[in-house]
Amino acid sequence: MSRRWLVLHLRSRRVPGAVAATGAITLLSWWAGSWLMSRPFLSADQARIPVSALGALAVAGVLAAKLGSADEWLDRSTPSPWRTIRAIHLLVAAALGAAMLALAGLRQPALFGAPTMARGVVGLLALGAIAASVVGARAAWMVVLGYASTVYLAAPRTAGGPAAVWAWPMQPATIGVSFVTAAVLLGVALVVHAAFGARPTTDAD
Amino acid sequence: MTAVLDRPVTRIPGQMRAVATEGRRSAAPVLFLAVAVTGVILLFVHPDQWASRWAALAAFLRTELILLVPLCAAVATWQGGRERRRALDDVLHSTSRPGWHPLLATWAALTVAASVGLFVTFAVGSVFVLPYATYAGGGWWWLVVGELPALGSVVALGLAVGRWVPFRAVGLVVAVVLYVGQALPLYNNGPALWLDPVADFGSSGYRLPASTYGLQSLWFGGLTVVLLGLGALASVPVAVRAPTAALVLGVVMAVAGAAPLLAGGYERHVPDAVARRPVCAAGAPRVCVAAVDAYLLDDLTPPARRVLRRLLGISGAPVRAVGDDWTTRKPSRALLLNNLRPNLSGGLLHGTQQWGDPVADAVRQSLSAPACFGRETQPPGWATRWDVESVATGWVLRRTHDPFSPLAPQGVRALAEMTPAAQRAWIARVYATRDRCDLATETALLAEVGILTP
Repeated sequence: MSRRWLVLHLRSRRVPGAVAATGAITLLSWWAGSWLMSRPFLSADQARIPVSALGALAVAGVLAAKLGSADEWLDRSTPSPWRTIRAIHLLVAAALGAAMLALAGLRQPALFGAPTMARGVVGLLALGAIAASVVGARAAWMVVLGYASTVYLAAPRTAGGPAAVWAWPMQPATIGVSFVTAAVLLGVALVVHAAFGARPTTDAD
Repeated sequence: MTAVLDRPVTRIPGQMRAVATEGRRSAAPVLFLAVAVTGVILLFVHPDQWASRWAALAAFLRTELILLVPLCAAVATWQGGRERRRALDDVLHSTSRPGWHPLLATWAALTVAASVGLFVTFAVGSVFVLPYATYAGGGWWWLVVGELPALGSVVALGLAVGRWVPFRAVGLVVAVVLYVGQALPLYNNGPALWLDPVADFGSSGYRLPASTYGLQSLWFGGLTVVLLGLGALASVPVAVRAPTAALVLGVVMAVAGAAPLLAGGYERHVPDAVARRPVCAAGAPRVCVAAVDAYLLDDLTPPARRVLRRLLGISGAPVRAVGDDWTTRKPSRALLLNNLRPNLSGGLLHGTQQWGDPVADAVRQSLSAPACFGRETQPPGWATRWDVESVATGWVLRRTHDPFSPLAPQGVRALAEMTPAAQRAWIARVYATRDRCDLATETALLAEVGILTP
């Protein structure tokens, strides 16, 4: 794969725009976290919960929308190792998104800081990748938004238990099962997305 | 015959038909399902916040908007973007209808879908309110009706953004921005809160003047007209008269609604005297709660009376139990039944939190010494008052264990071994030290029940 191919691949998926958007979300998350922490009625950890959840949701949604090209059928007609390419694309997107957003969580790393933000991006992007295989990359964010927003308000106030699995984005960093759940999601997403890719849709869908 | 067919009356069904068609072919069914399912799920996550009370149910539905508004906007953005992507403008321009008509039909279909989804949520909640509620006043229905203009405005916002911004995940961005935009005024407690779909609607003992709902409707209505105008301008650049007129009208409406809301300040609640009116159980000792909480009287009266009878004749101890009346006035010698939380069957919710039992909490509160606040964190005597209160609470409630005071059960057992008169005298001395914060007396009280303080 040449450098020119890589540039074309990234451009066809509008990746530069997504990276810029991720950077903007990181800055916003840093500001929002600092502002919330300055509120007198919120503890530093309580203040980080919405930032951790919403920042990861926004980054994962933006990156999931870039998992498909403008014309999937045209892509697939080329003699390229698409399974490998798709798996690498997803892995790099998850690593880059997690690393960038984690910067916003460094100020208050305990409980709802950098580790939970990275976990959120990885797990929600994995969910987005699976959704992209079913409904297409353009609509994948809807599934991510629906899941994340429901667990955001429906998750129990106590950490651990079954919620560590079904509401893993809302768990503090001390709950290891939530990280395992996100990792399992990424594993499933790698298999599904590498095998099927984003569902081909027309631009009008 | 032709004249009959041309009557304006035939146009109304036609427009309704257009909305109905949009309702079927657009994202309206998805929006209806998303709002109804999400709304009902959220209801059952926090049933104690709304069950058995109409005003609380209405306020909780407003609280749900923090999630439902981004959801509606995201779906509407998707819908607006799809129309742009499918290049429907060219097709629409080929008809004799003004270009903004289809936009209006799409907006109406989505708004109706979201509103019906919300009313389904309300109907499900009503099943757990109607049989038990003991107060139906306070104008709570305006809270529910007042949500509709807010939903209309966010649907219009989504359609406008979808038509203007060609970006795949723009719906998600709109949803996150709207969530943050709604949450910020909640953290600030300023007058801007009243421009927020999710305002702070207070507790059951308060109501809002009808003018607040009217001004909010005007604000959201104006916003809707402005956003529909902007959306129409995105798709019909050749016919700008109607959208421009809509922009002017919408701005006037929005300003007319927002200006008095902003000028009126944050505090708009007024006490609901009827909801606060005390309702008492028959018989003695006296147990009363506010009318809005009267459905809990049957559950509260037996345990409250058991406590009051145990304390009967003890100097300084409570002689009656009263519910929260949302005032700063605290009646003397009364068990204050605060934080009354219902379950879904009109009863009292017990034990889901650290301090879950209102009668037990009231006993503890009746023994606590405000004069000692602040002393608890500093030696010597930082835990002395706490242990005194724990032993006394355990004696009143006949509790044999206390997870928050390991020494208390030992003290309760020692107290129980004294003569009844000595036990009651010990409790009377605890009540007597409430206002003094007398460390020496408290230390002596603990020593009498075998607890030695360092």
